[in-house]
Amino acid sequence: MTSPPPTHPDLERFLHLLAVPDREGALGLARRVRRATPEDDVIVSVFAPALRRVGELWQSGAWNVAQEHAATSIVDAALADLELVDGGDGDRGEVVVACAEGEWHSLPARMVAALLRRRGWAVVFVGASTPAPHLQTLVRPGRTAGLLVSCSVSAALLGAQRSIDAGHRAGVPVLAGGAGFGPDDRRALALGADGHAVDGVAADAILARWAMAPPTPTPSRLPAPAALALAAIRPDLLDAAMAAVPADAVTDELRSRLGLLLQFVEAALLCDDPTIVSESRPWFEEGLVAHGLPARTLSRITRAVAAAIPADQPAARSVLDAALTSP
Amino acid sequence: MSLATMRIGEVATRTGLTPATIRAWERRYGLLAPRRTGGGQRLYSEADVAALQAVRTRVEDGWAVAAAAAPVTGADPAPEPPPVPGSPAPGSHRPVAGDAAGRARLLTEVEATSVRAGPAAAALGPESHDVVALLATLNATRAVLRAPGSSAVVAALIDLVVQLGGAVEPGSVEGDHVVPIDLGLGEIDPVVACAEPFSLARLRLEAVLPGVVEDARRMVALLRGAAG
Repeated sequence: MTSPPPTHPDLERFLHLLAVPDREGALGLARRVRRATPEDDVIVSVFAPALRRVGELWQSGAWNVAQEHAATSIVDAALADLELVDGGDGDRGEVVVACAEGEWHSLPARMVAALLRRRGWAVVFVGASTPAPHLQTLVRPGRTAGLLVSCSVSAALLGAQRSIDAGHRAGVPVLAGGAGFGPDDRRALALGADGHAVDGVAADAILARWAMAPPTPTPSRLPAPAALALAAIRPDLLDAAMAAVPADAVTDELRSRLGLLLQFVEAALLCDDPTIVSESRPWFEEGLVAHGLPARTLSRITRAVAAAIPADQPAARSVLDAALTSP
Repeated sequence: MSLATMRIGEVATRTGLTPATIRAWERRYGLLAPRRTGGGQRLYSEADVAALQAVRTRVEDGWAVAAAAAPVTGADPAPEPPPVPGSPAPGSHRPVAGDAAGRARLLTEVEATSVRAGPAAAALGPESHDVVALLATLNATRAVLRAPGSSAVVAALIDLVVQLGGAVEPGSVEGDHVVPIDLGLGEIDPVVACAEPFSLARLRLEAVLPGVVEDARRMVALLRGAAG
């Protein structure tokens, strides 16, 4: 078992500055780190781990959403700083980086865009959750070497499928990446992507191959009917889920979070990958605890949802049952 | 005439608005003329709090801030918002329906205010030539490009949200009605756009905001760089 990579000596200081929040201090520290170390280090060893920690702090309830916004806003600014200074030549080819439709976490994609830009690609970074039809107008066959679709949370895989499809309709190869696609290429290929990259460095290598020899474009495809059928009744299932929650715990935030659970099930059907639901279980249990409910409430909620799924959607039921019975 | 005794922090807490928004509404729409202490700090009265709450309620009902503030400032009294064809109706950020039929009705409404841009664009769907959204985007982009400073960039984003029929809330708010992009860009406390899912305003905000926010973010970075 390999030991984890050493943390950057300035990481804790950077996190402290994000927590205050001290925008000027954080930007100043980022600039000093960048000047002192090789180009990629500040993104890979400071920004990325800091953002992971921010996510953990929000997930556990230690930070509220305003603190999370403030911290990510600072890292956004630090990345923008980086982009202005280290432009790169853009002569290796054009790349469009977009977040999947419905994916509002834009920082992971922004970091990959910054890395690719410094490695010589002309990168167009489109931002969070781009509507698929809009994406289709931004990529140019013959000019765009690749469209990168980023998905951080599996709930956005439905939108990712539309984004991937948009690239194919425009005749451009599509590279999928981000935590929502999981550690390997299974989900990415299930959604029709032409490739999968675990990080910006891997994306760079794949894009370099595509720039020389573009892959045969994957034809556009329709999403799995089981996923669409479940999405169509999501409001009813959400009502069933909320009915299983004690009355004094019913809040808009909890309803939003349970809506995400249903999107995970839809994503599992879309990719034919039940692990999407089972791997999200700890996250939902933590969320329930943060709302003052026991973790076992999740079982009651998923049973209520399963009971509300009509008999003509057996695949959806079995995905939920598998998530319930897994250890 | 009520006494002016409150500092802006207390007013912010009472009205649910950020101090930056209160100061911006004062500056841009002539809403309120607070007394100042010897040290230059603003002091507010109960009447001021009531005025802010009234404006906020109307903004949440879908009014643009200027029209919402008019009855309070005495400028151009307009009991109803001016009927501009295609502009978001009051309450357009409220939900119409949460089902496929409701969404289809909304898209028909979007089409009714759109022009056909040609067969190629038609293939992309009606959202791609929603003239109201396109014009609002263009105007916001221009405002961002011409912004004299970072706070003007943020003001352009807030204006855009209201033009599209959304409401602006503090970033601490959570829920389905929130479009989760911080529009404050680090210049003011986090703020987000809000509109109910499946409302016309929500469709427009989700389509338009991400791209304009990216442009705004870049402009803020350029302005900061220029400022040194």
